[in-house]
Amino acid sequence: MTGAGLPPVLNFVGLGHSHVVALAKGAYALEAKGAEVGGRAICGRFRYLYDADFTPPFADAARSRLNPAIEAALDDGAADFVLLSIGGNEHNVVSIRQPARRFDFILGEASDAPLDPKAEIVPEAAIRETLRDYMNENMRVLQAIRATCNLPMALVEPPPPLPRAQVLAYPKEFFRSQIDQRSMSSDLLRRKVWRVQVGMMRQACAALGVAYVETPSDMFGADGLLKASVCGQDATHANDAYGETMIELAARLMAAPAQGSG
Amino acid sequence: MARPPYSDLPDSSYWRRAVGGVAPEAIDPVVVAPFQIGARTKVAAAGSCFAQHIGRYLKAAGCAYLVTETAHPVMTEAAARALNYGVYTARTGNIYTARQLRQLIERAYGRVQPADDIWDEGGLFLDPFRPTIQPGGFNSRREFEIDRIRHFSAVRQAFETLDVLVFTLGLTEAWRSRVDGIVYPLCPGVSGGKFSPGAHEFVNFGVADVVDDLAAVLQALKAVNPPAKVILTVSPVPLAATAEPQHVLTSTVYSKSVLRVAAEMAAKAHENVAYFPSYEIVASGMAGNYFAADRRSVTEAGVAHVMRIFAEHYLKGGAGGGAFAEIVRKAAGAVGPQARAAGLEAAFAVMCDEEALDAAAVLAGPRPPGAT
Repeated sequence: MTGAGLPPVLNFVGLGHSHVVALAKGAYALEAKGAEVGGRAICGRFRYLYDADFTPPFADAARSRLNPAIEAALDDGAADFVLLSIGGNEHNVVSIRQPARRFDFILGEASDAPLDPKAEIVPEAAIRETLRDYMNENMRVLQAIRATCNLPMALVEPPPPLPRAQVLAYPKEFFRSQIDQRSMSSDLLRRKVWRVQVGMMRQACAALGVAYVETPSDMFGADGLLKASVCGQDATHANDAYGETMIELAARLMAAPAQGSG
Repeated sequence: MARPPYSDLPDSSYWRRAVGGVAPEAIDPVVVAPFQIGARTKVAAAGSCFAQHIGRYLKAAGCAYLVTETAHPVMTEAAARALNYGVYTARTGNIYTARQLRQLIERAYGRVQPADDIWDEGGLFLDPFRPTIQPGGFNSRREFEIDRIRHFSAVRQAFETLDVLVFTLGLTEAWRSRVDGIVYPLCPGVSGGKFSPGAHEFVNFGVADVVDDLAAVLQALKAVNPPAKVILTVSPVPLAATAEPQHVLTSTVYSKSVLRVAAEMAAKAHENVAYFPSYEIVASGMAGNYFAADRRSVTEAGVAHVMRIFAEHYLKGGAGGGAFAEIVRKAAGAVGPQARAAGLEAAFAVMCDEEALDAAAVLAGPRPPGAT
């Protein structure tokens, strides 16, 4: 036991889609270093929701029950909390590439920001509802996980869009159609769409009683995108250094008294 | 000796031959359609919530349903639906009264600038003339203004390029500004804005008002689009609520009667205007009970009957084949679950923000703000 009477290890189950990989790497790196949070070592066991055992995520067409393998992963017995990274790349689907009919929008939180003079200006609600549509299945998964498991939970914010050069270096990694300098959306637009998405995720978490782990300011470059040193080896993901930071933040949040409870 | 005038009349002139002795589903109150809609005829739709069915059916029938305010391709279909793109020709929302349509044209052409032009809801902005057009309203005055410039442009484009306008008259009751007489689609305070007895007043338009408003609309349309034709119809959907100090059923019959008379007068006074009897098919009760359990919503079968008659008379080729016949058949309930699976449920999930009147009453207490 620690001095505060707590078990010496802070155990958690990590579940998620592609962004969970960086988090898992970060957690394992922290464990290897013997990192502690509040005097407790951290120990995470991760599950990748795209693994065959966990797909489809629901056991029935009505989506009334989670896939039993996901339920079993949540029913760990030893975990102090559940760490989630659900979806998170929907903003890229919307924003990475400009269609022939260019678009831009006004972000409510920065309504005076410049707009693309050649673009059709759509309402932010158009972006929000489009993201809602793309995020629908993953939000259902989040709701079902919350409803299934009583452990405290935290959702890690998806990383911000990656710098332009990084995306262009991996044009086919995640997108069916090739993107190039001309067709790729501006940094500002990509960041705005990400802001809309993370706002929705934060709101969903608040409604579900899931703690929300925001990307800290030192993860951003001067352009408001993910800083180059924490980019992963593709066009949309972060690396294990980013994972370490986010795991540490999440662990601190969940280890703090009266935090992160469902 | 001259034959009496009733001796050579068509079957449609006789109740027994046209109604009493006819199977309900075969009742067809249209005698002559003065013009027809071909595959390339650009049809625009506007009006109260019942008008949404017309657009959806025309699209399903492969008609050139005119949409001038389109969703950007970045949007998914569900998002476009949530923001009411494509429900009507322009993103107008429901236009319940002839005065609203008149105002819309005048505003779109810059001839009228309402004093109460934007509602600031504490950082979110609503359009008083389409307060429920998108979830959450507009995020800034700037966004609001950009969108409305586009909206007015789409309205002008619609009026200048349509071949046929189908306008469904819904209500005579409305709320208007005491400052400049501008009429709102919904009472301020119901779905945004703040009701104030000093700023807003109730109005119940009479026949002369509606005839005058329709004449102004037709004149404005003719000025920018001389060959345009208009089909007027009256929504059979009863009032959700009345602000008159009388029973809502009494108000409904009054309101629909006024609209029906005004539509008849407009059709008789203008060569390019036809009247289509949606109201008679559904609300007369002669063609069957086409109201759902709430006695307000029109059933799928009722809408299908209306649209079958519309197609029979107004669509070149009639309703006898193709996609239109199929959608009517499905909507009539021949294959209910399959019809829903085919996406038809959307055709009946109409945007009816007038229902907010009822919801507001439930949530806010016994009476909507300012109701007499």
